[in-house]
Amino acid sequence: MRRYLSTTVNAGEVSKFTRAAKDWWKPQSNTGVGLLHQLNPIRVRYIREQVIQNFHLPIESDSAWPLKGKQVLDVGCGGGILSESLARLGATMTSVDPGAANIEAAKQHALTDDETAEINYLCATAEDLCKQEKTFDIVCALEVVEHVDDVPKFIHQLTQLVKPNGLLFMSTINRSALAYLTTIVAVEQILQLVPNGTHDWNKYIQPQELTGMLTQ
Amino acid sequence: MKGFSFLSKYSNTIHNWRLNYSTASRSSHYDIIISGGGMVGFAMACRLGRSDCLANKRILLLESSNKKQLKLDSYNLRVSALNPGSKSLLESLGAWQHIEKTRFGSVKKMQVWDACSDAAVTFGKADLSEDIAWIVENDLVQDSLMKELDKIEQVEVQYKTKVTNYRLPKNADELVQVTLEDGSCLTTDLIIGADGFNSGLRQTIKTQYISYDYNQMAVVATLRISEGDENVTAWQRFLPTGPIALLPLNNEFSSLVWSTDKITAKSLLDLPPDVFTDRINQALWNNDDRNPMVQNVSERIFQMLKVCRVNSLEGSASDIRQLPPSVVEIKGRQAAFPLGLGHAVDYISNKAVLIGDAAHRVHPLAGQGVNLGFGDVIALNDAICEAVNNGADHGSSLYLKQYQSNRQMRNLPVMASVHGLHLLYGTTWTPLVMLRSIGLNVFDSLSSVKSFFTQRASV
Repeated sequence: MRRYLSTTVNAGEVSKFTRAAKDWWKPQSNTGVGLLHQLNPIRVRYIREQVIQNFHLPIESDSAWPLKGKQVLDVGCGGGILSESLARLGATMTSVDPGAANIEAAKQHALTDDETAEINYLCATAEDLCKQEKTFDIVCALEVVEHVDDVPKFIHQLTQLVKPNGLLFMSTINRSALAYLTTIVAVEQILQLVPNGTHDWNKYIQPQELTGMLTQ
Repeated sequence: MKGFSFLSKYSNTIHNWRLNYSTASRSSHYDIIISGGGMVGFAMACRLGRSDCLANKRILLLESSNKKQLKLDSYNLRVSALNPGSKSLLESLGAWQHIEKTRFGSVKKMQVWDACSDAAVTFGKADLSEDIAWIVENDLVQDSLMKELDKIEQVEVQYKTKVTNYRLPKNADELVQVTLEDGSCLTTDLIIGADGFNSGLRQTIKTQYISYDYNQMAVVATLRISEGDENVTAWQRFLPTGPIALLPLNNEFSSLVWSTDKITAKSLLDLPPDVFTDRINQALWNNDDRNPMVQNVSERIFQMLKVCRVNSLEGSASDIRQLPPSVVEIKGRQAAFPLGLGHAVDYISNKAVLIGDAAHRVHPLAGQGVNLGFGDVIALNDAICEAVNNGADHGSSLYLKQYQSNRQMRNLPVMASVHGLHLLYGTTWTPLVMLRSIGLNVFDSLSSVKSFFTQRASV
């Protein structure tokens, strides 16, 4: 039995790490993680349909790897529940979360399956990526907005991360399927606070004023 | 110290998956393995292979016997009555065209009656305009599926490959390990057991298995029947010892399926052809088992129902009670196979799932066996596709559970009914004979109720 010996790690950190790791991928646990696992299929299905439709992909609705060739960013990825699903649909995933423990847990779990082992997990924020001027075909910030202090600023950062004619998906926390539908409406209302004016919540076409710096 | 033990537990997990992935070289790991190459196993392989969302998955089918060569010089003894749902499945897989070009029997009418009272029920249209079932040799179904499977590149078939052991994962990070007779080991994310009623995979899952030995065997043979009208009727007479059925193959021949107790079955197997033929005709025509009192009562009720014409639709086949054909001779030899009831309480386990006879085994009296199996194929494919389309692993328990609930909800009532019929018709006790005879006559006259049941049995 191999042992990883490290003198810089202390028991407290490790147990936090293991507790977080155990929780994210135990859908049976009662710490709210279970809810995210249950939500996931609906979210993934929606993203899948919208991607095929909006990118006018010349494929059947149930083809394998519909996200193949797409650069996808998952902001606030947590333990990687959404990231792994999108990776399995063929996406080239970059996933960021400010929580180091989350990223560690996500990395460990992703390595257990070939299809998810290539996910690029970074302990970072949307702001960090903006500074690096990275852009993506699809950006997802699901169940994140309610944790953010400055919502308009955050959304502005997200829009900067999306390539022209790309897609931005957002959602907020919910307690039931019905609430989920109503919160999409609520999020839309919040988005109307953003000065560049957005129409539907899952599709941001970058206004010309903001895209000056972007190459595409 | 506590910290280190936590760390080591994690390092162990990493070590294990690395063990799984590095020792499982590309050539011995498959995304899905199907164990068992009967009609249901091959249908499963075809269906998975044709699903767009699974186009990038490597699928393997393991069959313990040699690749079968289809023999068509005489009729194969094992046949199945396919319902419309099964026919649609075979059409969607491209297999039906091979069957159509070769041979099959059409059933446009079914007559089922009771030896103790002559109460009867008929299904189908009086003008024989619609097919309600198709009689196809099992070998032909399998061969047709094999032909289509050959065209699907991502599905591999290994014949003469016997599985000696399954090792199922304890948690979601591990793989299934399949050990073969030659000692080699395969790994997979999902093992599908289509390995029949003595399923090795089911035994590994260690689920509770409800089984009942009917102490019966089904004697099968190909019979030349007397000439008459088109042979498109399936006949089944319930004798106290078990039902005798004649399934149409073409205008000249029918397939016999005679379920009876083991002693009678064994004696039937030993009979020379002419005596055997006589016995069949006796079973179809003899009135020795008639219960006079029941006969009397049920006849009156039958007349009454005719007069009332309860819910009767125009052109219903029950308006005309036909007589079955008589058997001229048997072609070839007769054979027999054992009958039993079986149902697995769990169809699934970690990254493992059962389909077909491995999960459930029924009496052939209602012709449901392979139809339930084909239903499993459709449902499991749907569940796996949903998993993949939702970005989940194709062996994900959440979706396997959906398959299990769907199929158990469907299979259990059918199995209970079939078993119930077996028990009901296995007695000569007058009250029950009276009950079932009257019941049958009433049922026969209620066309709308009959269509409801026909519909349910069709998919």
